[in-house]
Amino acid sequence: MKQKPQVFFTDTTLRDGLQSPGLHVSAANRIRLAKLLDEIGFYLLEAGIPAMGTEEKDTVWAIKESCRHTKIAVWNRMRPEDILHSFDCQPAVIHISAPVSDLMLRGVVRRDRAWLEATLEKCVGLAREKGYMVTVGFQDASRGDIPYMIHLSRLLSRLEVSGIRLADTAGLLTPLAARTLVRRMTENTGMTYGFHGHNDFGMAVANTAEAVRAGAVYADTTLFGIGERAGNCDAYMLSQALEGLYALTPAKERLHSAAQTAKALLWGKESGSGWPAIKERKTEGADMR
Amino acid sequence: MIRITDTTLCTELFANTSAPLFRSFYVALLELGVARVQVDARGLEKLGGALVKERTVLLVDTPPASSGWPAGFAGFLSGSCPSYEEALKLHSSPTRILAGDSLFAADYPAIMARLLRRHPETELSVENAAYSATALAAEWIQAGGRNITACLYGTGGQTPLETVLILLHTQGYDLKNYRLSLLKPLAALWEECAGQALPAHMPILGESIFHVSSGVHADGIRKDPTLYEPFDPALVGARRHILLGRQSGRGAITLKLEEYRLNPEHFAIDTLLRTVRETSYCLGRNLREEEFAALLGRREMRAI
Repeated sequence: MKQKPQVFFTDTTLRDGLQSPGLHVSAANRIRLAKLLDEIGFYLLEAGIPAMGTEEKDTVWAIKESCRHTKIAVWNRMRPEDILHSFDCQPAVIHISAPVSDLMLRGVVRRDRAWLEATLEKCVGLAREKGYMVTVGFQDASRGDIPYMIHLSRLLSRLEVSGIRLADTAGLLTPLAARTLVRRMTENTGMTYGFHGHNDFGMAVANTAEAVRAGAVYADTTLFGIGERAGNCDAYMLSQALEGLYALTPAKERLHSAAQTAKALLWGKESGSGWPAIKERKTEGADMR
Repeated sequence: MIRITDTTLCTELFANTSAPLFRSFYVALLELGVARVQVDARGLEKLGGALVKERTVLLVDTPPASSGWPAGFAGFLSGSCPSYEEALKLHSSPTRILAGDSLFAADYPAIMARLLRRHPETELSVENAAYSATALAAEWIQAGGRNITACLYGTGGQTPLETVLILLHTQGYDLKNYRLSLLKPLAALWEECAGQALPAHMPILGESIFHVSSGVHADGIRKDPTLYEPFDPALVGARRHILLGRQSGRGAITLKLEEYRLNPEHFAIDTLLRTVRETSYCLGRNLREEEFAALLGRREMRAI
């Protein structure tokens, strides 16, 4: 029997997810959530942003100590000083977010591609010198120039970066566009890719599913799809969309069984501020004419 | 021209809606610009004099004899519509084709092209089982289709009206027949009719989707809103709002001060940022407006 391809969910509940407006989770509950994500079996979780300060670093440390299997990653802007902050946490993975689209380069950092490459090389080099596993996020990849991103991927491959996460930062992709992006990147480089979707048009799950079909091995998700604006890709919904076709890490059933505990840790006694409870998919055609 | 048949009023959630509210929602859909509104026999009774036959599709359980259809309606539906697999074999074009996650799992661009060659005027109705309904409806339009069905908030598990409209708008489609600013009032009516609140984070119309808390995003939005916002909040009558808390950065503080018509250059941003973060940690939540005002030593502030 043919083996199903592997897909690994990487969790960003504790980083991007906690940017959900009005949501505030105590450090103690963040640590409990991390332990739960570890028990569920996520391949990797983003524990936080060390550059935010001492409290954040302490929380990342505590998360690291409470998790047994899941790789602990920390998120960094593309700044050498951020990477130095991350060293204080000694994570398994240092993730560096690079604004790769010309729109982001001009609009956010107000620099050019040469600066991007030099700074990225410096940041990656800092982390690799210390022996860290490094992943890079292509921020705003959905509006990026694919040939340039292919060039960057090759550069990062030479710098021994372990994987690249293609981010649909403004939630603009459609599934077909996500397919084209991931397929062209995988076909033209030897790099391993992940996909990070946003739900602005309600398509985070569909876009991530298409990215996986096109060759992305890692799927970025949050519990209940929480996150800024309309949120991120919901881990459980994605597992529903992909089950049967892929070998999923974690399995759908493990996500389901942990839902109530996760909800209590995120929202306490509150209702969940309208984020969906885990629900089963309807049978196709059940309510249609 | 993109023609949408809205089927919200035929969903179970609206079965017990009072006649006045039902009528208001129907009229609001027509004013928004949907081409047709689908109602069933019970809904037809509730509409009374508000009925606009030429923009109403009537759903009936049993088709009358061929000469027995009431005159003047935009269309009729009875029984089940064909699935996309069945429609590929049909010679005469059905009114509506049904699709769901099995289409999304298949080679949908090729299948849509084949369907549209046979049935160019047929409308596609997508069930949102694989969370792909918006995408498939938009792909149908991109492939040359002109007719789709939708429901506000995807009621009944179908294509959400608001996501497909704004997505097509951002893709540059001509939606001059639609008054997109009426989506918000329609959502408020939906809440009244359904007796439940719409989620604050729902795509397009959620109350909190333009609330910004992270420092990176606030900084980006300050420089160019299109960097982190897929469409202008004003398009749907919403406003951006900066939340201050433990994830805030210098950009968020600056934006907040500007929101209050204060000159950021008159403030020690770094000190203010540190205090905001520490206060947020202590409170276990974001700062309220009055708490930020207190940090500035002001009793009252009003955002522009």
